[in-house]
Amino acid sequence: MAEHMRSSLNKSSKSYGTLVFPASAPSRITDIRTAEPDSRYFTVRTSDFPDGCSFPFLSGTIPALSEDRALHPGQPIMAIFGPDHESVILARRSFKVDVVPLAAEEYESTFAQGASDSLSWGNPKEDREGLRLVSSTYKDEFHYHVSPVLISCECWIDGEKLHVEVPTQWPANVRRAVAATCQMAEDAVIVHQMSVMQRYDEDLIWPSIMAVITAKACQKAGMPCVLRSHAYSASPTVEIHRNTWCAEDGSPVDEECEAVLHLGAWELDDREAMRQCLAGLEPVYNLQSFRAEVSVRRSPTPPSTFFRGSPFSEAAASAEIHATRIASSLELPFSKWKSYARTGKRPFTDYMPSVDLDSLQALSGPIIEESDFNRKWASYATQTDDFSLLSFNRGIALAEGVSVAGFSTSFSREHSFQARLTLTEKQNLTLLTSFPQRDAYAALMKKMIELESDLGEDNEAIVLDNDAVMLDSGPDVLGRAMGHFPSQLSSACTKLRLQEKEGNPPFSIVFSADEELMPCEFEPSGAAALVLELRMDSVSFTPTVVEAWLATTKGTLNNREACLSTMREEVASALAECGAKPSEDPARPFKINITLQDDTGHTVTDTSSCVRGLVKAAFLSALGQCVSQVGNRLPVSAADIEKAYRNREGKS
Amino acid sequence: MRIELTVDGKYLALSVSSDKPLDLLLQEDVEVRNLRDHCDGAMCGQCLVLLDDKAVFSCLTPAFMVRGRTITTFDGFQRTRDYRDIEKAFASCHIRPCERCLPARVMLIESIVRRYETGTGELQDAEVLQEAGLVRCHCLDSAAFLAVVREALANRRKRKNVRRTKIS
Repeated sequence: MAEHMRSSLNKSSKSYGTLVFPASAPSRITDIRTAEPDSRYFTVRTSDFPDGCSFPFLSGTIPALSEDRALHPGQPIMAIFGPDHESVILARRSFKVDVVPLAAEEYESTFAQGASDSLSWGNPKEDREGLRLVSSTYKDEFHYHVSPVLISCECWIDGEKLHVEVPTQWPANVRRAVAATCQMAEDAVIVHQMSVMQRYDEDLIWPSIMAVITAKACQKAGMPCVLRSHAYSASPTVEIHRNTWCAEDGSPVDEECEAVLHLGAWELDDREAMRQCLAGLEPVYNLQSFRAEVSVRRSPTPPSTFFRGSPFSEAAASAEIHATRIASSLELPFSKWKSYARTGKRPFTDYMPSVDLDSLQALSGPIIEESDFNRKWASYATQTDDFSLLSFNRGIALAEGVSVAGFSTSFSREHSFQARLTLTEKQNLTLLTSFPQRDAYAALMKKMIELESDLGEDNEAIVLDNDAVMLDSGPDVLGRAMGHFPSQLSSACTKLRLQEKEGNPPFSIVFSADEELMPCEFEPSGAAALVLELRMDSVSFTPTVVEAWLATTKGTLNNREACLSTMREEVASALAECGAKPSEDPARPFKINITLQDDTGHTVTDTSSCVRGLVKAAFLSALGQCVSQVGNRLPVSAADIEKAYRNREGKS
Repeated sequence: MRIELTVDGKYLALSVSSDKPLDLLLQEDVEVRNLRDHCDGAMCGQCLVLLDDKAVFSCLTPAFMVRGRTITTFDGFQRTRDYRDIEKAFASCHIRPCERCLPARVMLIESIVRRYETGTGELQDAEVLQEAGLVRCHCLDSAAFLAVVREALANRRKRKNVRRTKIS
């Protein structure tokens, strides 16, 4: 419908816009100068919003425009609209924005420390004499992500209604933001959700910012307006320090860890980020006691609470890389060490139920064999730091872990996100959600409804998006649509069938999109194990990934090919974030071998967040086998490796 | 300026700005549906089209360069028999690229296949691997891309009955 409406409008009757950004940030804006634009152009500035242009986003607020100070790169100051996209880009050059850096006091007060949380279980040993201390520090530096494509938002007024057409992961927030800033009733704003295919957070916060500005331009000019802009997002900076006290045989006894999360300039929901982090910090081995503390700091970057699987992935990566360090301190391959340290069950905590560690061993067994891990590890360990014999070094590493998907139980209780299931008179089942519609996802949900509600041959399941319907299923982040939602849908199908026995359809039930009754904050959503082999030559100092072996669980209903494609993308994009390059050697081009194992306990699973963490852990471990002094810091550049190698030379 | 060009077999005469990028021209003036995004020359690779059988970034191709040329987009290409060769190749390799990059991947594979389909030479793996990087998406690894190109080329040669003779 949205596409039909867009094409039906005359192109010449639209205004095209672009955003104006400051030259540097964080900074205070002292002056905005511009040449007088002709009558074909107009601007949207903060003064056009009498009640302010900030809109609510979960527990915080985000400004759409800011003319006094810019807290992070990519924060828009104003927008300019004109007759076509190319001329507006040229007109933007006439704006001069003067900025000065924030004063030290202002910087300190703006980016102050936020909340903190902790988790502990067991009693630490009072006397740690005789125990061996293994410490490690993991740091994943933020990286900006500017969307490669221009995101387009279009607004037009049709009678009393304001239509917004934008690719978004959360249409309800777009509607709420436009209604709040343009002083309209929420039901007067109709959001047409365009397909969402971006990998990072471009389609989470940015569409709401663009919609607010475009809607105001549309109101101001009284004509359809189109705003095009690259989207700015950033991953969080995560710093984790761990101390583990191990017994003589190398088995861990006590562990303490501290994590600091830098989550960007605006608060979205720090408490949820801390819960995600704590779930990932729990190590995948047995301990007598464990204590973890997490604190949040504001930083001069775009909000990054939900940047892909963060910060669960980073926390899980730190746990796994630390386990590798413990094994290395005993000069054992990780596969040998884990065979005695990773057995039995990890205890039940407030954040995760107990995890069967033996099942993880079973998952990684075949890929250890297939990749010839033990032989290669022993061989590569002998040439660490040594470029003299061969012009390259090689490294191999193993990582394994459990995944989570979706929000925590506490978050689900605080926020009510819903979906609607309707049994029609013709006995068809219609699911209405505001999750972005992707073909593969809709097919999966249809399959699930058909399975759960025993639909007859003449009946069908229909999955709809919610154009013009006031329904909020929440943002599509952290694999929510594949995490809790299927189990909620399953129980809704059962309830609907029970209602059917009491009367004639149509019936409709609105159900929560998230699980609010779990005893722990998270439920495991599958498990994964990964072996990664890389090679680094002495000239370019670029880590080149040769091959990866991934074994992961797959829900019984998951589409095999779609799963393979998702996992391949997850591995390759996480490697790119780490600073690795895929091998382009025709003799051995980069290859990802994926083994999918049916997880009979889950109809649908999503192991993406875990796989991302495992890739980071395995990459750092393999890199450590090539150059020992490189440290656990991501992303890695050629300069870092060269420096580490020179440090090693200086020591020898 | 006024340009005449052929898009997906249709002869068109358009009046556009001479430096308008081809992808915007196709989106706004021809209403090609699969080219929704414009990256402003960031080389994301999502806007690949065939310009006289050669894959080009349409965001970097100005309108004056396409005067009198033939353009094939994914919209038109997916209705042809040639597309079936690539579709079959994906299926037989059990590989499915993501929905986002599928149009660009297909056009890239088609340009490689067209280069080799009538010739007798062996596929140059290094060349193909280098070209694989034109589409900046991580859903296919290099080995998988190479396998699909090989399979697609074999399908095309088989269908068009091209005999391969090795150069000794």
